[in-house]
Amino acid sequence: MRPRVRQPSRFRWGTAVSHGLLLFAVLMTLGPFVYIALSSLKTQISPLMGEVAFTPTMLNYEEVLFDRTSDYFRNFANSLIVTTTSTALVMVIGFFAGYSLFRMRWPMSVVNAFLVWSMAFNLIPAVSLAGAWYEMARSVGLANDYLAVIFAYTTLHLPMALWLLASFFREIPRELEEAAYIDGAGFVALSHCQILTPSSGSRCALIFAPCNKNSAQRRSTSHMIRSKQ
Amino acid sequence: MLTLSPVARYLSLAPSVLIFAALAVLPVANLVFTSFFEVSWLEGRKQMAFVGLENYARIPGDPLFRAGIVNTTILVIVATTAQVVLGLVLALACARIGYKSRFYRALLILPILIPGIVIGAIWRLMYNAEFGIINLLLQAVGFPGHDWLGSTSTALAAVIVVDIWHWTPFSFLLLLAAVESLPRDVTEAAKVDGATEWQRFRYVTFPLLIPALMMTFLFRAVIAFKVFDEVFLLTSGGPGTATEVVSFTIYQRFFLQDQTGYGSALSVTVIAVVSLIIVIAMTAGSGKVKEQ
Repeated sequence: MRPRVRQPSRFRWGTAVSHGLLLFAVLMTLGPFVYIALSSLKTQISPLMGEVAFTPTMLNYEEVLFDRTSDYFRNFANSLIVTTTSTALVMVIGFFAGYSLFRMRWPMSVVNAFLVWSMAFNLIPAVSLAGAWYEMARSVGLANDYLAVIFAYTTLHLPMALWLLASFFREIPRELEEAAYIDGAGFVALSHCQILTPSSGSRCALIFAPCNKNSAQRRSTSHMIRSKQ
Repeated sequence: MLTLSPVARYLSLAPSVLIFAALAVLPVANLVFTSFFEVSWLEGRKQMAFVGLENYARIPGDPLFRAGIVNTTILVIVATTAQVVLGLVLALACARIGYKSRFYRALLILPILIPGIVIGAIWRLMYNAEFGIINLLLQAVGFPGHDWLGSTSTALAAVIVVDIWHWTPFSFLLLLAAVESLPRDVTEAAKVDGATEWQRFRYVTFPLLIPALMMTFLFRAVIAFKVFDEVFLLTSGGPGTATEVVSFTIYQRFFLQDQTGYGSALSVTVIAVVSLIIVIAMTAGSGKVKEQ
């Protein structure tokens, strides 16, 4: 720890500029959110009339949440099912593959093939695969089924997870595992439950975030997969 | 050294291999295969006629594809550059403030947590010519309103602004990690030697950050190239072909016009072109880093 030295005063304005910049950036970032939140409290006609002052109404929320024709909860549940299942799949499969690739003495060609493929796969627009996935799902009777969408998203997110986990497994010291192994821990207890999982928790969260936020994007792709006739 | 049974070795890799083979390799192979055929549907049955390279021959003359390539290139270059520059400025500002900046960090990354579809919806409302907040604000300070998404001259710029808003936090996060892992002693040595703040940035911090900047740029460029959701919701490629992007062209040809064979050829071409660009960029990039 370095001793805390009081910064000379000529640096103060630099800090002030930084604060100013960041504050401006935060305002720009939050602006659209505030705007959409305010709009959600307006009646349908209000924005059309360009009203600035308005009386807040909960009508829109009532319609979305409680109206009999609303399919919001149904859609939300769909997203939730697809998201949690595919994220769990991605994490488990990616975890084992990452561990295997960097700890089980695969030849370098196998490791590289995996990593290159992970990178290359990111380049392919998902749109161009949706058609092929749809036909495959239909031929095995899974069209219009959760499983088809879950597998599609697992495939889409696995490369990224593999990249992140791969670089992570390279960083975890091998000694940690070896010590546990000498103490008599078996493979499962050793690597996956007691040593690696705790230390890779943050990394898994990193994988979870992008998978999760795509839940609504999911709808656009799954829509394509399901509705192409 | 750890010794594990060969069964565990294969079992641990098997699920990924299966998924890659069945859901990634196979569809791409299928895509390449289909690109040589003319696909039509007759009474619910798929009819395939071999046409050789005809689908590929059509690509250079396709007006949608041409517009898509030009617009996507503009979008990737302008948006990615802006995102990297803004992200760097914000990361440096955060690093200077230090621990106290965690409040800003938490708020700044909000946009990447929001799905593109939602962002498209928000901005579409904001851009609205009659009652959008942007025009209302402009009119309040005396400028005339403008139909941002509806006119060919501003539609692409409007989409780029949204992309910058959406993805600057991403490059900010990556660059913040890079800035914070910079060695302190070199900057301090430069300070002792009497380098001004600008000189320290120009000759110490910036060169050290070049690999991270290249990586961020490449990463963002790849994602930007695939932009779909925002364009789909904001403009659907219009007006005319003003905001037509490659992903959207593929979507139109493939799904809306049911030209499966031609759409496949488009996809294969795009994948090949992008891979080529990335290989070139990476070789050039690593050469440059070595020089320094």
